[in-house]
Amino acid sequence: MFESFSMKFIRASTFPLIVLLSISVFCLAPSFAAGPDSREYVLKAGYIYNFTKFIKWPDRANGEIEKKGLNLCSAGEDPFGNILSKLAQKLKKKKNKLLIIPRVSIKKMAQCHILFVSQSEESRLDQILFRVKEYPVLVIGDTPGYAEKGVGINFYLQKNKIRFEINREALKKAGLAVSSELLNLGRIVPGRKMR
Amino acid sequence: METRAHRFVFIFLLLFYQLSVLADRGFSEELDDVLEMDLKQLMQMDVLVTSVSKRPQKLHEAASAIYVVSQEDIRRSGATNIPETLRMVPGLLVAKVDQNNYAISSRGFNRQTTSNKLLVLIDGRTVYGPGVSGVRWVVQDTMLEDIDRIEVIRGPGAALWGSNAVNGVINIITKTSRETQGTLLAGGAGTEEKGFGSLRYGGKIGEKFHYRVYGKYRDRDDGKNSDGREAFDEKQMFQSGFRSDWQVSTKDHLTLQGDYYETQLENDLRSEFVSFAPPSTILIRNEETDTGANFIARWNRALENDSAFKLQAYYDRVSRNSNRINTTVHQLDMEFQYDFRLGERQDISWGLNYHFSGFDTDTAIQVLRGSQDTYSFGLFIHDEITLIPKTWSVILGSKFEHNEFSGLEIQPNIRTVWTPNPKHTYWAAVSRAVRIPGASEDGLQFNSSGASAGPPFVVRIIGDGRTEAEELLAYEAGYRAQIQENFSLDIAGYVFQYDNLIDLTTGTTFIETTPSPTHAVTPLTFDNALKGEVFGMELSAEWRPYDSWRLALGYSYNTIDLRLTNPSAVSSAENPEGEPNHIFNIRSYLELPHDLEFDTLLYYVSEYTEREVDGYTRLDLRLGWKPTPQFELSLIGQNLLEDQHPEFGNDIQFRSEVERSFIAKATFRFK
Repeated sequence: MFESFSMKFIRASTFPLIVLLSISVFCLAPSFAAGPDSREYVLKAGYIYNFTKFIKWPDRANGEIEKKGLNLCSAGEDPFGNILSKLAQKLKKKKNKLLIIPRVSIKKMAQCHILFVSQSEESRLDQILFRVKEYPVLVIGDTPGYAEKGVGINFYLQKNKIRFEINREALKKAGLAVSSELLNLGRIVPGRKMR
Repeated sequence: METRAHRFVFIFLLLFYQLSVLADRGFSEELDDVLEMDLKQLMQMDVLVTSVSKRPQKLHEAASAIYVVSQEDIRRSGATNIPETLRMVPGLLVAKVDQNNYAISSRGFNRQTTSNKLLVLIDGRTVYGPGVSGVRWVVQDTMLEDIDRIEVIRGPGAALWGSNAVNGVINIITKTSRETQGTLLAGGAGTEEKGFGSLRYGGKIGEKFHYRVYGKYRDRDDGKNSDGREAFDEKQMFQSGFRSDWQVSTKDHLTLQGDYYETQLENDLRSEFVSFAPPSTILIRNEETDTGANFIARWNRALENDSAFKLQAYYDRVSRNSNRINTTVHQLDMEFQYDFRLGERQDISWGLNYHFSGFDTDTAIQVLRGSQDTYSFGLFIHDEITLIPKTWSVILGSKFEHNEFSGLEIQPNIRTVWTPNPKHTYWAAVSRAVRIPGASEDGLQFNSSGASAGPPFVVRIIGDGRTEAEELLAYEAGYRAQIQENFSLDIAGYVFQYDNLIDLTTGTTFIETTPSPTHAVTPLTFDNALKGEVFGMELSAEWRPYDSWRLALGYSYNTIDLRLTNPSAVSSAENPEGEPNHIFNIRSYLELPHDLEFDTLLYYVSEYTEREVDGYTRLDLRLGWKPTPQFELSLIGQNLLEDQHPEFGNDIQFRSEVERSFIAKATFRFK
């Protein structure tokens, strides 16, 4: 019985193998698209868009945002795929200008108004936070422990819903004013002593 | 057969070259909705998939072969009913029997009324009928626009869902009423779908209570027989329903929902139930009216420390009435589930359930058991143990269920998931599942007409209570990968060992004098007559070469090897070995300038020898125009390559064939 199965297996495998090979040939063109959990990141994009309504940047940065648009950067492997660029397209129709800078280099991070730090950057987080320390950058993450380490707003999942924690000290240090409504919705995290 | 399949691949690879227009991912509409929401609304939104572990879980970390059909997939498929939306799922065989009936299965054993190893739930309510031991797709409907997603698990889900979740579970999940606010009006007409329309209104009372009500109507034309003549299988249906979601407090959520439907359909039966009480004429063609009603109440409560409980109860009633048969099935079901975390590493769920089903029938069917009311109750426990955080976990679980047909059934499984990095997931599972015999196989007897010429002759189908549960021991493994940011892949393979499979065995023909007239009887008795192996693999891939172009592919291979366990038995029923070995589909979703969408769906099913159906290729095209989020127009062409082709056999009912058809549909949404 199992001998005939192995024959069947060989027969069954040839076709999918051909399909696989043919597809893999075409995968070399890089493009940015959403991963398998896109719904989660569509919702997170919605959160980020909403955060901008509750956070006030210092005057100079605010002027920049009104004039040139808000710089939304992401550091490391981008879990949003092309969701953020789609968001920018949609906001353009609403006359809200959003500039998406994926995989921003550490040098340019100070130009970001919002910086999403991916889980892949866990080992470099201190370095990134140090780089933007003196600048009005809203740092956002979705990795457990990020808020305690100094990320301003950190997403977490609870009961299949997205929640966020806020490190007030970190936001204050960045010169960002947060409305009390946002503070009420998030979980306040005591940040570790900032250097 | 395989060379034909190779040709499709080649054609589509050519397409890859020729089309260089920018395309979309399909979340665009979701993003529109999300941008309309404030933070409080966002905080109510569910993120993830639930079926695999009965608690929310990320899709790519699931330890089973799961595929999710999203609302966007449904919208762009051009499908006008639930079975058609399932064609795209890799590994599902969706065969249209006639205009009303579908035979749907995963991993083999596809039968018309008794595709009996696949469990289907709509919002937590099972639509697997205990009378027919299967799903009557003809009466399963809802507002397609209000479906959030359809989660399809191939392979056993019995450790969580209990008996009958043997080779697959389909979970149809509708949106919450909070997500379906405003008015939606959709309607259209076509060559086969003579007219259909649906209307939904969603409103709210305060900020905590949301509701929706809907109604839909459909009038479907007769199909065509293989000789091109009009078949006898048209259908009219009306369905309405409601759902309300009440956020009683930050911790409590109460959902009430219900549906009512009335379906009028025509049957062109090959044989009919025979009663020797007058009138004894055998009506082959008949008209049937099916009515159904159901009501569910569900209470979810979030507790401290990430624990939660759920309490659910539902009642479901379905009756079928024609001049030959009148049956009513009642089902009452109650379920409790509790989730909690034990220490840092264990997520545990356990639950209890109770199920009652009652079966009323008319005189043509003889009841051998004392009562057709049956009860079952069960307990499940599911423990997800993290061995290495974010990398390796093991899932242990089992369902313990007592039913009146086969007593206590224990259905355990062990699963493991290894995620060396977020891009690659490996999983494997061993599980046991059973299917308990339905009323028709265990406790009923009825006569079916034999050849009509000559002296009266009947085929007597006997379920005399000798059947035991069908058993499955399943070995499965799979691999999921996000190979590039725009390319993902999912492969699963399985070896299933079945024992005690129920089949009809033929006895010796004898003469019966009472009731008169004197007639010959050929007995067919349900017995656990078969055992065997099922083996196969499924592959699905998704590739987004450009922002606005998405390609999806599904392929499955399945082969069945069965043998009789009782050498004296002669199996007379259908032979599942003759089911299609290869199923292949490729879908392209393209977003064009001027708010146009162009979608191509190509399906291939290889030869179905048991049903005398040749391999066929089906091409569906859809052109959509969506100038604003409020308005959408679609032109859909189905089965464009052929005038007509059959997808299933002629056993219980005369089949009608799938014709080339065109549909125009418009959708309006108002706030």
